[in-house]
Amino acid sequence: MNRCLKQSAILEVVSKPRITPEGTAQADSKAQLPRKVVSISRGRQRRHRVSDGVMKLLLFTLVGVFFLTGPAMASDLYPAQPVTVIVAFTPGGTTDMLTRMVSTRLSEQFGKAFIVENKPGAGGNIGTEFVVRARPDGYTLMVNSVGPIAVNPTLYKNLPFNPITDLEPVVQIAEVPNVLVVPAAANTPDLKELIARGKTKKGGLSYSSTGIGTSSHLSSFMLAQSAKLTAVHIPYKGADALNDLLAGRIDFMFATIPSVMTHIQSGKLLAIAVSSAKRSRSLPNVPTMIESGYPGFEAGSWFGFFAPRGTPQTVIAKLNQAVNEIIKDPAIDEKMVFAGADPVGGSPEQFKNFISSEFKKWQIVVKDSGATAQ
Amino acid sequence: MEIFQNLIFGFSVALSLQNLFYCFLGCLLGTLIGVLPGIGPLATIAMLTPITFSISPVAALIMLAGIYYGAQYGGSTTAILVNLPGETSAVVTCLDGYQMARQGRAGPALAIAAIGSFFAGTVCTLIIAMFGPAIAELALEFGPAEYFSLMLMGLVAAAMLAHGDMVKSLAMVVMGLLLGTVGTDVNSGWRRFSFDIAELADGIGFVVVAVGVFALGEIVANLGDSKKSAVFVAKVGGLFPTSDDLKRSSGPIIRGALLGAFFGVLPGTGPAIASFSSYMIEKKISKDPSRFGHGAIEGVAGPESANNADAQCKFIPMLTLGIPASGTMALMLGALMIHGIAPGPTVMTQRPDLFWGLIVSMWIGNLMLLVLNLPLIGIWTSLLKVPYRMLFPAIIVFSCIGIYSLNNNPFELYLTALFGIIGFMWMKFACPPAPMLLGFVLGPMMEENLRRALLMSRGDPMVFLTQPISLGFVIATVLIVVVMMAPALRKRRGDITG
Repeated sequence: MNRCLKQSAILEVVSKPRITPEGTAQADSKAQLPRKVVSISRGRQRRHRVSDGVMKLLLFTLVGVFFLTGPAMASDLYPAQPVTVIVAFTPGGTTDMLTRMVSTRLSEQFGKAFIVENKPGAGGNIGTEFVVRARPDGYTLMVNSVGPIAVNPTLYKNLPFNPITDLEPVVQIAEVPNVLVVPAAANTPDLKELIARGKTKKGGLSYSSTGIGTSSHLSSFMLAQSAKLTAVHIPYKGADALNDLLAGRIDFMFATIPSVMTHIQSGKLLAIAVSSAKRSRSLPNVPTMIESGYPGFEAGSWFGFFAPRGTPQTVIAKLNQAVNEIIKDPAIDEKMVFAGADPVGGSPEQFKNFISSEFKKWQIVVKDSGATAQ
Repeated sequence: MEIFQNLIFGFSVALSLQNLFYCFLGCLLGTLIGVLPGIGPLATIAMLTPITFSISPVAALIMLAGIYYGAQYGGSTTAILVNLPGETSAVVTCLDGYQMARQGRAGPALAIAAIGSFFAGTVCTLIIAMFGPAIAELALEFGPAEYFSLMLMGLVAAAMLAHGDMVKSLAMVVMGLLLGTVGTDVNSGWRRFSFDIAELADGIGFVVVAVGVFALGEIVANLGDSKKSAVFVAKVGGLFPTSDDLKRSSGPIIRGALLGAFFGVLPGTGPAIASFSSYMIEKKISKDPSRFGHGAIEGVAGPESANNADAQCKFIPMLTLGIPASGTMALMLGALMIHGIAPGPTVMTQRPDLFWGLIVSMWIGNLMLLVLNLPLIGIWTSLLKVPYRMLFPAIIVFSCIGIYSLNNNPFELYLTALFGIIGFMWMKFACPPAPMLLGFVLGPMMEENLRRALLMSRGDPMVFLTQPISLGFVIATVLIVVVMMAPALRKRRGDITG
């Protein structure tokens, strides 16, 4: 026990002089913030470090020696130590699945472990804030999705950080369209009939979602708005939403493709449209919302790698290139089709521009829907 | 007989050397993490999922499932020995199991927990094999109105959990309901009682409250009492249950297994509800309810069988409907998907090897767990002879590791410490924490289902009475109230006349 503690203490000292040019710039910008904020964020990092130390005691005793002999932290040698990839959602979700898929390959490619760590809570804000406040050295990264990056800044009134300016986009991994499903027994086999039913049904249609302000909720809201339907939103906490839909107590829902794929195959649910601009590779026979007469209707989820602002450009370029290669791999691609994901890739700049257009789009929808979280 | 053919096919899959090995590995890991408080199956399965990509999906699922139900076995160990609920569902086991341990009867308590769990596991294997898909269809009949009425019945029955002061028990139920409102309101997105703390946005974690109030509170109280001896029990009695113990436990085990299977099939109920219900029923039908809370073996046998049955039957909605009933199930669903298998109605026909292999492996796993656990009882009980000064710091360290691993967030540790202090105060005021926990578990679910049912009915409250299943629960609730009030009324009348 004593020996472990000593080693992790040494590691603390060694890891401190890890300074990059951008790193000092980051420190300057933090110094301009009010004093309280600085002390909070430092406190957070220290707490993280101490508890991390506890969690990894065993690891340190095993590989501690290698850490001590390899203090070179120049970015051309990146990664020189294990990299933590934060997921701001619980294990098992689409974000987590994609992250683990890509991180396993990154570990193989770089010969250093990319450790996935889930920090869920507050609609992804807790994990996102953790990475915003992390040291921008490329050893804390995150895979994040449309929600925390493009929706939450409008949805949450008092977000203490700005995910768009405080995070550096690295690369977009994939797009995951939502699919509009209805219970098979409801007898509304296409969008037209669903809308027609909505106009005549007393009290309007009910739609379920995986929570307020999720792309599932906002997609349905967009549909109701553009079709001039009265529809009641019935929010759930995540996957429970399917239960009432299958039983026919709910009229329609925008769901992620893998969560409903098996029900579509077995005929319990009918897929009547996908929310992406192009048809999904996972459901090639299902028309898009645009094809069904709703021009401009595009409302899917997307996922990508992010780093704290100030992370060296060389590190970002290196990661960008690696992920771009990984998502082209046929084995990964096959798994992505199954997960309802279409790989995207591209440069950090492309990702950045995409994010800013997404932010503007969702800002309008969130405001129209009146959804709020505060 | 199709079932026998299916089961034999299942045995042929599960008994392959590779699958047996992964089954054993899963059970062993599950027992270990179950024993370590806080480190739950969720975190373990999350960490191990990527490793399973390289083995066959059947073996992967068998191992992950082994971890899951193995943890239910292990979870009772610390609950009985040191009042520390290793898993959510073990909270109820603390009530009487820990009292048994204090009386030197930790051995019988641990043994009956293992035997009850094994029996429940066997029953569930048969239930899944015979009726799995049909039951799952039935579970779909449970909508928000039905869930609300069911939980209302549970909450009213919670008054039976009380021993001692009824007013205090009811106050604690309300306390639990209030604690359950903390966090983001699902319907409006507004945060309640979160004081702008991001970590409170999703509410307070069950494990945080349970470990704080039960384990830490107990430790503080023990330290404050200087008269007690420096070890838990100086003398540990017999390791195995007497024939009287077995006789007393057989009824609760059977009832617990059936009750657990019922709740297990319903995806909308959490893991603690089955064991709470079993405890309440055993206490109600017992000839001498006053023994409960003071080391009644029925209070261990029933809930332990119920929670294992619940855990195992949670596979029914997952495999046949593709609906994950808990976080752990969602994770296994994810693991299956990465293997290219979409859980749902098609699994049974497309991958019979997976479906039947898993089910049979669960029974084999339960047998392994029984064999694994019984010889360990001697070792566990000898832990009770460890002095306080070593045992207490160890419990606190393991609890902290476990709680941190839930969300990788240090805030939860501070919260647990706070609940430790609150738990100590409750103990001093003789306020029973169990009714509080039940309110805490049921409150948010009831609110969600109540509002959801009303949203669907567009505000018409009659929905609870027009749905037949819901009406049944409402009637049962009224009956429970009448039965509970009757003795009190009779007594008062007696007072007046006499």
